[in-house]
Amino acid sequence: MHQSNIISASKRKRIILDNLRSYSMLLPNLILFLAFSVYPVIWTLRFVFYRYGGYGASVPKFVGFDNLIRVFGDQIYWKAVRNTFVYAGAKILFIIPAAFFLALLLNRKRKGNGQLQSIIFMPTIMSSAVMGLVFYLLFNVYNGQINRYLMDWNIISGPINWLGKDHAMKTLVITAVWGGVGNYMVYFIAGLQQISQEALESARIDGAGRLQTLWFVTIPMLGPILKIILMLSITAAFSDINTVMVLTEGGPTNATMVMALYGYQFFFPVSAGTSITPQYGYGAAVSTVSALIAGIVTVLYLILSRKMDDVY
Amino acid sequence: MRRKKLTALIMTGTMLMGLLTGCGQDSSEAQTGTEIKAEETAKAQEEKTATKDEVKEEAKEESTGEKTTITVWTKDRHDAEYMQSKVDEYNATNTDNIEVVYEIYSDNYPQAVDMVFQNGDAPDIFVFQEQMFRNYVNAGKYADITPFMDDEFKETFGCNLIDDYNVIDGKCYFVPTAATVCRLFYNKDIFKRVGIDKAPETLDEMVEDARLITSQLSGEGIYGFAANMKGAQSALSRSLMKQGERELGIKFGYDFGTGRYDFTGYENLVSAWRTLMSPECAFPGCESLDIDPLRTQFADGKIGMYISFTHAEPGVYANQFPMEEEWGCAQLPVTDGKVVGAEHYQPMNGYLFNAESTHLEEAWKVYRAIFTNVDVLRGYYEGGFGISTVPAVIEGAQPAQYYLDNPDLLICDTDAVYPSTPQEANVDAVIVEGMNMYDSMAELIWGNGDIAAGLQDLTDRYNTALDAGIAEGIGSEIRIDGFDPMNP
Repeated sequence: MHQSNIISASKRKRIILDNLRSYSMLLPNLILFLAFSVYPVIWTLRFVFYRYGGYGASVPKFVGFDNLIRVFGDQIYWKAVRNTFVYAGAKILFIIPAAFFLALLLNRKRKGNGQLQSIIFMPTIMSSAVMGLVFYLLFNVYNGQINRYLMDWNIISGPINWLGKDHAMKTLVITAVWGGVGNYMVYFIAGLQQISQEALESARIDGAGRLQTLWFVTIPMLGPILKIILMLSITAAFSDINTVMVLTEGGPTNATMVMALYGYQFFFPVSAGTSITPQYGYGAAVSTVSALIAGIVTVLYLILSRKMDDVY
Repeated sequence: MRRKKLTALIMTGTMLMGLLTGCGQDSSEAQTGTEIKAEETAKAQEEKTATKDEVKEEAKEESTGEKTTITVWTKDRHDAEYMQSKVDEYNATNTDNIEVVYEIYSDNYPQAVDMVFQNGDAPDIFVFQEQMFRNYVNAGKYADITPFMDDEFKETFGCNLIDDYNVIDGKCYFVPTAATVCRLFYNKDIFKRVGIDKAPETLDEMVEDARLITSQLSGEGIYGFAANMKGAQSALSRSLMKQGERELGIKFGYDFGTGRYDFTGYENLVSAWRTLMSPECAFPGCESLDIDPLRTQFADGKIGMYISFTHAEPGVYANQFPMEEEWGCAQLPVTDGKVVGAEHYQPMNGYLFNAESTHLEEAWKVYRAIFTNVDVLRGYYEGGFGISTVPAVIEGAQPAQYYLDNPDLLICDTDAVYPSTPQEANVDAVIVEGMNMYDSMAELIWGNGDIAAGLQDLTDRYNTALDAGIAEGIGSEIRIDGFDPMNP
């Protein structure tokens, strides 16, 4: 009895020490997380209930649910929410298959594949401001190169206003797909390299063709990583602000306004030429509702994608 | 096992110290917590010694009459060379032991001011900017400069002291010495090519001229009219809203005579703009056009006319985007050419003083010697860096050639400074549900919805917001009995 007490005491001590060590390891990140993630969130949540024009402008005034009520009656905000869903849906629809097929093509050991991977990945590390400027030069209606080529090749008879209200969203999606496809391609390559060669070999021995192997073996075995890639792409698309800000600033007439940019503009000017009067309280309310919407979409996705964890 | 534990503890300590000291460590330079602690102590002691030395230096500076540094912040780049030369000249010649540090913050200037007010490191003098002034004037961040003004100053700059603008409750916070106003800029060569010999004076002429240019020259890539509609606020606040001031005597939809918002009078203007922005008149892609791409196309001879500020455009076509064809400048066209109200001009080149500066007297000396020195201001005006509003400067000055060629660039009798609208005075007091005036008007201009109904809706929403602000006690009705828009 006495011996078992001694054992359990030393065991407990070891567990405490182990825990202590683990928490000590976690502490640096935890402090940073609290300072730069949790604190701003609490700050934002607090100002949802205040009217506040920023430091020096006015004293924060408690207004209860006024800001939230204003959000629900704000037509532009709900237009921005609709635009966000269109943008996110279109971006994911194109970027995931494109990234997957690029990964399939470039995963093989073939001369030049490494260089091609680097070239496709390069837009990911490019400044989004530069990217926006380049795409503006390519797509603008008066002297853009895209129109010039399309007309030279007799694909179109007159210039298309790519950045006009009818086409701006498409242009935005093209820019975003181009800018992000390399990143997702790398994730897919990592996933493809995890697939057991034995499984692929047995499929071939069983007489499966290339397409059958891809459909019945490769894609199902990519399930867990595909789930993560899709989740990352959903959250990225819902919070994407840079591409919109540098290419269209949410225009024309809010045709490309997305909810993240709509909230942002109540805190900071979208471009150097625009002056704003900050509305931190309303901006906080918009950002909070937007975060809730993005959160609900992510949770729904996680529920719907449970099956993807089951690897054969 | 013990060794493993020890290593883990050391590593944890290292990471923690790295975090606490606020800097990451390269793995190749990994140190133990004790070493870092020792270094930190040494560093702290060094810093302590350095601080003591600095205090000693400051004391020595005072006792030996060393120079006092006055920091001046500006957001303007176009006059940087000229102003820096004047600052250098002052630094080399002044006998007050003052050294002026002139710093330019062109991007996000208000945000930079926010930062320094929060961390207590604000400069002694700031160039005026509307938003930063409004944000901090009530918080007592700016010094009242009235006590420093002598009779000579009041005589020279008295006409630039405007009640409820730079003079609030008898306290003067800044004195503008220049101004900018909005005008129509047009390409004289393009106008000549289609047989038009003068700039449009009425809205109908403006639309017809734009239509004629587009119909005759669009095959060459030349169009009648353009606006930087990428941002509705940026585009319309410099154009349609300014036309509204001349046509209706209303500033940003607010009628000072009735103390109410009324956008319904803008119907003619919005209707004309709908045509101007249509393919029969407009340069293609105006929806996504920013002001600089617009200027490049105007400089390239592709745009017949557009509306912008007078302080910037002359310099742009002389230096930034040199223009071969001849450009002209004219007053903003209004319906039937009938001007009912003055156009609000934006006073510029005012300087605010940091109320917490310990060198206010020296700052004033610098301000008088450089920024309100009549000779410096005359050189500024003659150099074409800005349009002077100081009579003593204008008298006897030889304005830059483009001012002589285009007298409409200058402030004239039909320009004046309007009071602030309730929303300008306090944005929290007029919180409008739905789209603001710029986005609403842009929607109407692009053909979305009935103009009269849209403007009535805008009027109702702004007045509802105004009433709510007044009811809450944070806003106030600004009504001026017998308001004369020609002399606001």
